[in-house]
Amino acid sequence: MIQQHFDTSVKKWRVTFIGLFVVLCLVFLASLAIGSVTIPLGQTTKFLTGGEVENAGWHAILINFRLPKALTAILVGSALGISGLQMQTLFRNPLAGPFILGISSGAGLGVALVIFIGFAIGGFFGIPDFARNWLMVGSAAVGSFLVLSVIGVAALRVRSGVSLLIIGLMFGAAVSAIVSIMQFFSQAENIQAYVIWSFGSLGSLSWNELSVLTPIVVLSLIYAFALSKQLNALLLGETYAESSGLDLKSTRILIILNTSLLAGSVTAFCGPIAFVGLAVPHLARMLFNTSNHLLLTPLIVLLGGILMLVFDLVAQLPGSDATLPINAVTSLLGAPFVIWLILRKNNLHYSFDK
Amino acid sequence: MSLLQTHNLTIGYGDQPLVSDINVSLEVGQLIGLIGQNGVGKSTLIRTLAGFQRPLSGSISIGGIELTKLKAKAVSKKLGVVLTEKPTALNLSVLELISLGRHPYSGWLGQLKKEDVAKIEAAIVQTQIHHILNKRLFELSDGQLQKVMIARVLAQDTDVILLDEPTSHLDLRNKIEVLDLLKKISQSGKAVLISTHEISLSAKVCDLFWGVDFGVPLEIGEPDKMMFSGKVKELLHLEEGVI
Repeated sequence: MIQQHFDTSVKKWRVTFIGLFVVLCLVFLASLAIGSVTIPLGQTTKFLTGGEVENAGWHAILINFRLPKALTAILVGSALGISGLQMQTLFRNPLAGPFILGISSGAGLGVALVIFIGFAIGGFFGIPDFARNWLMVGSAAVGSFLVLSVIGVAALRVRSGVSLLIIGLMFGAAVSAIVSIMQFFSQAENIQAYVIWSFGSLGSLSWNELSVLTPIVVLSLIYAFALSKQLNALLLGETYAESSGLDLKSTRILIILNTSLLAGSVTAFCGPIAFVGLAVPHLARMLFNTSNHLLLTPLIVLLGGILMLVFDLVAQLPGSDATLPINAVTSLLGAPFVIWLILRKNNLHYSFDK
Repeated sequence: MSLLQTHNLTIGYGDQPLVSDINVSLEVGQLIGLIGQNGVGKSTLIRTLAGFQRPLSGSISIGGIELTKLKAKAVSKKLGVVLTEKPTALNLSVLELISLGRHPYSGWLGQLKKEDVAKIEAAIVQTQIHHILNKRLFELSDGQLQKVMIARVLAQDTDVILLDEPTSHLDLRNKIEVLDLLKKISQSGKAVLISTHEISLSAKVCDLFWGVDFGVPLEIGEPDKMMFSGKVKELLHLEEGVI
């Protein structure tokens, strides 16, 4: 009798997953074809299947710009969505997101230090582009790792998740304050460099950088799926989870580690990309009406990828040469969508509310 | 057969003992009612027995092994709880919640084996909740939710079940149904401990009362005897002539 319930739900979900995957492929194709120069869909498909593209310029655009950017968008959307999901479940808080524990503040501090100190010693803008890129990526990674280590030590000591959340928030605030002080005392030129980093960017990754980011994100996503059982137990509340045999402390550390790898690596390469991590888990829960992490994890990977590609398409302002900062587009388009969904469903019970 | 035993157990917070030198045991087939005023330490005793909170002194053993020597997973196969707090994610379906009761046994991703499904099914049959399996938790009445939480702990398949005020917020009919259900569960070979303010109803089903009061040792007695001797009134500080 019960077995039937499980069987029918497997069939139902298979259709959903295949549908979402098809949508992802279509949006991916569109994002390759559309931009300041429109490339015919036929040529784009030919390019993807390894055929010869008629126009050498188109080939260069696809291989050097659009393909790495589209892949980055999928990685970023999935990684931030999953890390937001983990933080919301771990802290039982619908307002939690990937950066709630101060990961982006830490990355920001790292980048700010490199920019401002580099400028003070001189020559920061003189070194080759690719070296400067890696320097910024490295410093962002070190910055977020340092913040994370402090949070990790705190996670071992405090019992309640809420205390940990507050420690994370306080730490993030203090770190941001240091960046503000540095900005206050610096020249317009490095403030601009920092602000541009903080807008986020999907298009700045070379194949070289992508070959570092991809394995980190993909492995972390696989590990996130493997954490589904623990995350599901946490849906009961910490006490019930513990009485179901969950080791709270080690689970918490593993989840924080996983989230920092996802959010930290993305932030290091693309800057602090706002909104996606907070909103995609809510969207997935509302659209597909489930809290089960075994389902939510693949759903969010697909949905996060799709949305990020769409946001990037809009940011390109197709047909024009101008582009909008991706951070502005994610919130500008995403916020009304979430509000519309909440109003339409008129249902506040979908995640954590009593 | 004793499933859970305490040895000179003292419970409380910090250096403030609530109840001292508790020596009790939970036996197979027993349904025990823990009674006492608000704030006297009923929930604290349940939390301490479940291992969520350290005892101030003394020890607890489950199936002859000291609780502190057992890993969380081993404890979860011997002792289950139903607490006053609701689960955090109220959009879980009833079936999903009950399935989570199999957490200590299911595969590394939570896959259910034949045996798991059979236990879940048995829990559903015992609590008679077939008709609400696909409902979400937030759609349930308090009575239904309590039965679902009991089904979850049944699916966890433990010898000992501790329930903190399982009848609070329920109407009379649901109180009776839940107490009746707990009685049947204890008779199926488990030991069940409930904390309750529902003295007269629980006296009908409980095998023993454990009475707790400020600053005195825990009292053990048969419900009828404790009621007639005036012990219950004394424990709850009820004045003569009230009701």
